[in-house]
Amino acid sequence: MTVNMPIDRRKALVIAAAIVGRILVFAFFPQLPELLTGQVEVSTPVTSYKRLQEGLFLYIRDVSPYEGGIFHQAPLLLPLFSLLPGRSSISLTTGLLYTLMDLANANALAKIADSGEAVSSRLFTSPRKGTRLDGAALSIAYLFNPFTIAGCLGRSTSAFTNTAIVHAVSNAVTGSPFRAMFALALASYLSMYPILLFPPLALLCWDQAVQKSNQKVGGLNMGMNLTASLFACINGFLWLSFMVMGGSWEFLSATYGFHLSVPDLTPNVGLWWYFFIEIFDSFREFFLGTFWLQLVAYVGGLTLRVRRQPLFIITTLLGLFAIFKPYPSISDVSLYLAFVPLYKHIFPLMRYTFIATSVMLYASLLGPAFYHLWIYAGSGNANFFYAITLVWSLGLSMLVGDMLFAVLRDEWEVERPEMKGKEIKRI
Amino acid sequence: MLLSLVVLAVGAASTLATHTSNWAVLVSTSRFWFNYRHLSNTLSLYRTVKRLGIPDSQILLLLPDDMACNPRNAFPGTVYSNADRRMDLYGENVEVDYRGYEVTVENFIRLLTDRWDEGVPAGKRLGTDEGSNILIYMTGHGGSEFLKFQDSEEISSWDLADAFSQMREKKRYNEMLFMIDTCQANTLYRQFYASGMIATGSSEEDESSYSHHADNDVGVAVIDRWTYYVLDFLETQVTGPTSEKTLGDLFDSYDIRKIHSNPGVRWDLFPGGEAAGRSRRVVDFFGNVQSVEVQGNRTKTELWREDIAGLRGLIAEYEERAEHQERNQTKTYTVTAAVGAKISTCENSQTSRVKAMNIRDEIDWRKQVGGITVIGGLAAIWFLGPMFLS
Amino acid sequence: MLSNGVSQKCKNDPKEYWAGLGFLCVIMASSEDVGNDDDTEQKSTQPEEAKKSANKPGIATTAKKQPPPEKPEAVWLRTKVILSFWAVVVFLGLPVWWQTTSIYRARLPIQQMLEWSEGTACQPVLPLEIWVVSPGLVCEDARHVVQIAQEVLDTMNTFPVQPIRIRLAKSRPINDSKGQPFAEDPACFLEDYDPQSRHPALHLHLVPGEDATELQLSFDPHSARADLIYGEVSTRALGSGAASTVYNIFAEEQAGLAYKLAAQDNSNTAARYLESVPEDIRSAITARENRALKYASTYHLTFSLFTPAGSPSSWAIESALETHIQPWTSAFSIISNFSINSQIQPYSAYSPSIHPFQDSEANQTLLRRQDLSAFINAAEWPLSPSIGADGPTINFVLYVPSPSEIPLTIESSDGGSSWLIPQWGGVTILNPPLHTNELTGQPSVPRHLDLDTLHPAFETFTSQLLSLLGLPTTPQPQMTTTTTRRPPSPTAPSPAPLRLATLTRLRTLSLHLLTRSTLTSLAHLTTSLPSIPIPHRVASLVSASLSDLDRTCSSLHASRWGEALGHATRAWQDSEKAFFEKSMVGQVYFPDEHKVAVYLPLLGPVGVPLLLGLAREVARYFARFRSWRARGTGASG
Repeated sequence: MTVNMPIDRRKALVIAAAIVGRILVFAFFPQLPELLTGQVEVSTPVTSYKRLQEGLFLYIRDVSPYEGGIFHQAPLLLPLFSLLPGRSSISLTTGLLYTLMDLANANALAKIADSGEAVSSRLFTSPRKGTRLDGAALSIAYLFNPFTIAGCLGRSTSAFTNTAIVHAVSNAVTGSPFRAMFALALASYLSMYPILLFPPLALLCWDQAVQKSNQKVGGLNMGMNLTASLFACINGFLWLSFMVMGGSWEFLSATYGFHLSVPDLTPNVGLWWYFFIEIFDSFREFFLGTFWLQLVAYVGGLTLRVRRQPLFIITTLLGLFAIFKPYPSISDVSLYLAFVPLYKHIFPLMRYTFIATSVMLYASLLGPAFYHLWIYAGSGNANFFYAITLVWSLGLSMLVGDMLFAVLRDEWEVERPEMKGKEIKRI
Repeated sequence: MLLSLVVLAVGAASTLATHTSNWAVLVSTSRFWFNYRHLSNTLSLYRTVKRLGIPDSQILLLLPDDMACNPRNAFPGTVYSNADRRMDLYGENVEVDYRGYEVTVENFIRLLTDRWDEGVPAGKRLGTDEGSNILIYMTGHGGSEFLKFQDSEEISSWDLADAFSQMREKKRYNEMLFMIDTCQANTLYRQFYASGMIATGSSEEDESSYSHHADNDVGVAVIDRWTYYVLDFLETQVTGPTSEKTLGDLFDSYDIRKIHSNPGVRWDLFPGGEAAGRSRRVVDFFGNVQSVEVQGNRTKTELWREDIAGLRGLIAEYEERAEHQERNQTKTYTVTAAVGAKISTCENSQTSRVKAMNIRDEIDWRKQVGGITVIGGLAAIWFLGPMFLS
Repeated sequence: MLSNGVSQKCKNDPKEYWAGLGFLCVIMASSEDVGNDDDTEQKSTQPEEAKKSANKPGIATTAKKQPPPEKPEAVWLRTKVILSFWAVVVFLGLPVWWQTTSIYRARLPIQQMLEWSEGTACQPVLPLEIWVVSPGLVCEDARHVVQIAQEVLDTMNTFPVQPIRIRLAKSRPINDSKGQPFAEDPACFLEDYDPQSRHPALHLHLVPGEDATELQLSFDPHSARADLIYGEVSTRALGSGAASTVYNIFAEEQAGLAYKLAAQDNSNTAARYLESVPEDIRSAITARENRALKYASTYHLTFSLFTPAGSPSSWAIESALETHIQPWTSAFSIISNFSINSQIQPYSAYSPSIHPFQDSEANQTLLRRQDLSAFINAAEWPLSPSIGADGPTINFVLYVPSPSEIPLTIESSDGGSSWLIPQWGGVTILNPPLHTNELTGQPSVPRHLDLDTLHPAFETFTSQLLSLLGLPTTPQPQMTTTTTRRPPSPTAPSPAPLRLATLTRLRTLSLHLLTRSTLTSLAHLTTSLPSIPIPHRVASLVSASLSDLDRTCSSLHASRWGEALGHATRAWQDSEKAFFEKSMVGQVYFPDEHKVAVYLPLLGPVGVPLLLGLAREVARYFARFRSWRARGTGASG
């Protein structure tokens, strides 16, 4: 897969360097991927590569991969990985697959950037659209993001979900609604939570369809079509999984049931694990419901509020998912951070960029250290690591909130051009 | 024929006691180094009940932390309850049943009510029955009508009361002695309502329970006052399993000037009240009922042989009948054994099918074909889907 | 509008939320801000009010410019955003809250459960059927003997739970040891009987003896059959002799049943009956009951060889088990199943707290009696291998002492070297013949214990096993009777088949009573603890248990013992499972302040912005409604 647009040679070289660098690490420093695979920041119970290998081991030996309660990932990953030669833990082919996915993501992100949807959608055009980044720059930002690299080297299977989401967005932006829905269905099938992206993605598809075609596009008709193709695809995936699993629906409870009931409280960078360790057992189910609803509640509000910029709804939702998912990892953050540079034009309107960046840097440096102190050195306790995950989530939520503020201000300045560039005061 | 075995009950004591077994549940509820004394309180009690004859299989010891292996312990591998450090409580033969994070309120209530998952080993269960006397000793940090567990949760007097009443309801004990050493300890047994209990605690409401003394080399207090003086009584007065000291003697030995708090005793739940309770011997709770039956060496082997010959005839008859039944049964079990693994058949009549595990490390070609088909199919939809739909 | 959104954001310093456990809602609040508005903004929607507010000092002075009036679309948008959040709360949140915080309590048939303990339901009766075969008597005489026997028995048998019925029956040619066919008069059966329906507890054969002056009783060891040999006696004497024979055979069983009823059911009649039983039998029964393990459908027998040194390292365990234990376990298979395993643990000494002493006179080592209960080294001997298996383990420990301690016996026990630990198992110290080690010249223990060496130990183990299983072992009682001739009293306990049948009935009754008491306890528990959850599984187990209780009772009435035991076992297992249901635990008591602590993080940061948003919207609608009405009245006026 190549970046199919004219870019200057230096940028192409930089992208190539990112790819070659990854392959070199996989080939010559296999200890690093091995280390990252075990890190709780990279691997969660639902995305861990090591758990995938366990599932694969059982699958190849004709035993249900969900036997033993280790593996909780979508069944279709198994036939894919069983095709790869060298199923040992360090395999260059696997590394190559993950590198290719990163490249494909970079390509899709470049498409999104080059479409200009971020600065001018059907209903809204930012007055600052001149300062946007081009596709190649966005690709570079994505490929050199340390979180992206860690996710790739750690081979967490959320890479597949991320690829599917990025392609869903890029196809929606470039006006192929079916592929967008197909990719969204794949993402939802793999990790369930991306289904929440359906409303903004449908809006994006509709906006594109309206922009492209001359005649009027029926909103309801289009919505029905999109919904139908999404559910047809998801059903297709489920049915395919049913066949792959040898006629058993066991995978439903082992994967989606696991996402919903969060039985494994292995520490991760999210907020759920500590809370559910501490909460009174009788309230566990209630708070499971509350936490999930909390995640769901943003979709409606945001979609209504930022209706004019559906791509931004998706970006913000991705940020929120990276904070509030039951099993978030840094590769979810890398997906959010991949979309953030699309809004470079509103960066000047953001007020807490410095604080948010430093908080996140602080957390990402201290997180592994505190985890080590807690688990290996024994000189810290769970509160150390949990405090860091709180700080991490605070940094992320500041970023998300600040961007939301900046975009709203950007929209507001269109209505009130006279206020441009002025400090806003409290009334 | 068994008459011929000389059956001798040991000691006259066993015929007097109404209970048939003794159990002890000894709980420390605190973690962390500065709560060293709670662990040593519990271990001291453990040593005492063991000395007085309760076997390890009938002592449930719950220790949330391992002070002996704490990095701060200047005497690694040991726990002392006295600054003279004469007796290492953690020496040999300590059987801890619940340790570390297993010591939770839920597990404790499960322990009392015996509501467990299937497969929890007998050693971790309180296998008492209507003839069992139980000693429950708890120590930790508490407040009015609650006791903290591990800094993260707490058990309330109501919870304990309900658990005990469920035990009473299910006839899981004959008599029970509940002892607690914590701040405001006497509030913990305020809500109890199950009969057959004697409860005693170290301090009144709004009153702290104090530690006895610290060991400067260990660096922390090593034992609590009330427990110290209870143990003092047990060690000096109750010298063996045949001791005739009563609970009345034990409770009379409480000296407020020494303990620095007001210990309490609750008698009203005990049948016969205080009078009956005071006359119970200390070893009725702290010792074991000595019910071993010694058998002599002489047997009349002819009778044995005759009986066994009779049984053989009986067995032949059974076997014939069983064979007959088996022929009527058409159920067949098609179980292919997995590698070395024993597969249990399901309880219900459905035959369970467990596929044999493939032990080769090579993948079945059909799986690979399936994989290629899946990926090819997905790619085809990806590329062809939009064409058909547009 | 935005300016106000921003201003609110400034007021809502995120850190305040963090301090208040409000991580849930930082973003909720921030997105809410976006949709929300300030109240000053609302005033600005009304131009007149805006002017008024501009006139007010303190508010207007800080603002240089008045924000332009809000567009109606913006207002509508804000309403929609707030509504979307509320829709989630109302349509998803409330059902989730209701569903997850309500305690599920399945309905239990409390009334039915209590009926069993109140005695209004079926009461167990275990009628015994005795078949009398009298080949040596003419029909008239046989009938007369049976009639007399029944009459006498009815006056003797004061225990209502176990009526005994004597019937004249056809002789069964099987198990006839002498091989002589008895003369049969086909017309001479008092009643028809269906051999399938009732299991006779005893076949009593009245056999004429040539020179017998007294009644003599002999048992067939293979079956439930007794021969009563008579000489020259009257039919009346024979009848009453037969009656007291039968009564004596079952007297101990009746005492056992009465004991169970009195102990487990607080039955007054049983207690009164028990008082009439001789003291020695009563104490024997009490001892037996205390010794025996609780009933289980599967027992694990573990035979362990412990020795403080390296030898013996093998024993003839398989043949020993086959000779001594397996006949019994097979015979017991009608009551319980057994799994047997064995282990050899060399270098395992007894507990360090035990100190035997030397008896220099008899050149032997003696164990103190008070040490026996602590002999088992529970910390180091692996004695509970049945982890995860259901059913108790019965341990049999064979201890071979070190050569220096041989012979090791128990003090003042006349050379006794074994003891039984009630409800746990048995211990036997085996002192094998020593031989001199060729290399060291020291006496040493043989490497292999052969069957002959093991015989005495396994005979002891067998007797311990039977005691632990509660098999009646007490001898037949010597009872005074009203007959002129002394009835024959057996010198040995009745044979195994009879005792097994007795044990079956005892177990059945015991399980039946246990089930009743468990169900009663569960009913009390359900009513006394209103906050304990009761899963559906418990309800179905209870109803299964209740119906099996009924079936047990009717099987007992019909004297079908095997069937009754099966039902009773199932009823008991179901009731135990129901009572000990795992999910019926949890902190039952949950104080209100804890609930506040649980809901506060929700009500604080999440609830307040939501409620405020709703309140403002409602207030705005009211204001608009009022102004609309004012305008309407103004126009009409």
